[in-house]
Amino acid sequence: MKWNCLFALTAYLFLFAGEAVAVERVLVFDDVKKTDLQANFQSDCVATQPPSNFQKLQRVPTKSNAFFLYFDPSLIEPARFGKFFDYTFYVAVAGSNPPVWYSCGTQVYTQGAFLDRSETAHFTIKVGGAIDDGALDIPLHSIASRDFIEITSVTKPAKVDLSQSTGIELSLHNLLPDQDLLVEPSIQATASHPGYWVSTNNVKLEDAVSKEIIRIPPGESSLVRLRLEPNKIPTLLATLGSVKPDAAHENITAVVSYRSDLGGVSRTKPVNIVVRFTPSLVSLIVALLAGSLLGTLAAQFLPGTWKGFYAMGQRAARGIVFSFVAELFAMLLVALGSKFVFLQFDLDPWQFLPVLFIGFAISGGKEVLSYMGLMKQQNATAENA
Amino acid sequence: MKRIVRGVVIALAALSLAAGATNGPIGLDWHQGGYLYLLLKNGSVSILEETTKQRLATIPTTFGLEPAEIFSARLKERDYVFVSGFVGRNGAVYQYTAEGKPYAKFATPEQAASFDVDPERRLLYVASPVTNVVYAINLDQKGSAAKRVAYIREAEAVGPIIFDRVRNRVMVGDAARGVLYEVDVTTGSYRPIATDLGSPISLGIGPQFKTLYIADRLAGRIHIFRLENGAYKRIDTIETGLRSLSAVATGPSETVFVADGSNAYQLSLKTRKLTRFAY
Repeated sequence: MKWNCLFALTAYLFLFAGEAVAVERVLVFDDVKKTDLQANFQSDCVATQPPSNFQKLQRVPTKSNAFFLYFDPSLIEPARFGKFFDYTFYVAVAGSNPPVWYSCGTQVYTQGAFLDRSETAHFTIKVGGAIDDGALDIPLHSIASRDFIEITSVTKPAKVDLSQSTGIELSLHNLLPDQDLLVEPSIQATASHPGYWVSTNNVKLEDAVSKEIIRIPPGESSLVRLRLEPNKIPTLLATLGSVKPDAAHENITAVVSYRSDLGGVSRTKPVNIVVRFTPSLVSLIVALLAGSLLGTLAAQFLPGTWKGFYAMGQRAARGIVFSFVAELFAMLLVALGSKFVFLQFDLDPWQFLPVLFIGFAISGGKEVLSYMGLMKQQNATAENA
Repeated sequence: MKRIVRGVVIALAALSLAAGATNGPIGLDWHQGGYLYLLLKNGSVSILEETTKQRLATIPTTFGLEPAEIFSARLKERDYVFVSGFVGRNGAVYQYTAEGKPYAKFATPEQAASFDVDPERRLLYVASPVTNVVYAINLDQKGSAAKRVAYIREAEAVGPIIFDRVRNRVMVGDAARGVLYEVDVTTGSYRPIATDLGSPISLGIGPQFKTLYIADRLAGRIHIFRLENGAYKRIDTIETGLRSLSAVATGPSETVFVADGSNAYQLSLKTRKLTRFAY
């Protein structure tokens, strides 16, 4: 108790002698030296009043409880011009009455190929003739250009459903060992075909939990949706050009802005997303019906086929039913990971043109396909095999 | 009823203050006859009329930009405003018209984000805190490489920079060691002209280029230097009491504008009184 009073008296004498803004070396941190990380600290302390929220701050006593070091990690910020980080610590002399406090602005310089993480830092406090030391865990940040995040689309290529406008589902993975990542919902999007989208401005990432900052715990992944609304007609037309199940319709470059929690520097991560549009169910039904009717009609033009409207109607109805059955089988096979190969064509039963073709081929029958040379080709291939 | 109204007014005032604090000004600039520009934490810029402080326009945030510094300059009879910062881990300076329309972008070397403009020779001086090198970038040649002007060997982390066009010098503050350097931009020679400046975060220069203001973030002080016999000498230090002083710029009628990341103020050099204003 006597020692504490002596500390307090000594500190007050210093305080009054040097005025409130006199800068003192009250707090000294040892350098942190690891294989991939080096950090050094430069603290300058000024006498101050206890901060109003000091009870909420992280408190670390020195070894012999002569002092307390108070720390608010949420006040860490990168220096304006970028080379170091500003931390604020408070030193309190234990048991002093009136209270003796110092505010210690600390510049922390880090080097090394490390990802932002916490490390134990040893410190020494000296007020007047009294010295004591201790240690605390503090978050350390890097200014180097390394990625702290991995971004992948959940499906490859990323599926964009033209009927629901649900956006593109992305997985964001935090690579940091012990710090949260804060991802800005606003992103910068560039499309190779801007006409496919209603707008590529003000594009946002949406998290199931929050529409504000997306917080990802260390080592974990978060599923988010990239809200991009497709223009239905141009995108439906885009699907006509590709038949293969994994072909790309569009490429999007999205730049995501993020930072590590507790004062990390702002970073950006560009990611290229390959997009494949999926037409709506209504479009597929229309394609199947149109294909089926076209096939039936084509068959009627073949020599010796015409048997009147009633027979054509019957054939059309049969064609539609079989087309639907074939389409359902195709969808089931593809959904189970298999392929739907028809007349040597690897077809995607979720795309407009392949569905039109399924309807046409099933309803037209082998007469139409033979007339077009498709069946012959297949027979010839089978014979050669 | 009165109590309810008073309560609502107090709540609204508290909300507006809180909103201001989360996106307060970190940089500002003004020159005679021009607007007052405030760079906010989120990277947007408020353009104010200097006397009434009425907001005239807002330059929106540039995606991914971590803002650092703002300067306004008159080039070929037109006012421009320049904003620097980091995009990812790369430095850049963006040029806007006085009305806030994007005009040009200049990539800076080695994460340089502090800068000033030489309007006569149309050069952008930037300083890298990583290498402590001062560079010049030609404003008229987009994409041209930055030309090395000087390397300040003794500096730890150079921060704010300001150009003295009368003497053809740039003043550079070392944010880590609290030293102010004067660099001759024609020869590249430099010398320290002041020490014990705490952590210089921002520099302002008077309209006659005879007074220099240095904001010390560490102690919340404004150091005032006056040019005497060809050299700057410290003549005064003003305690602002602001805990996170972030910017200083010369103002009209013996005042300076200052900002602390939460609010903007006009500081009278005569009375040393701070007057807060809305932005």
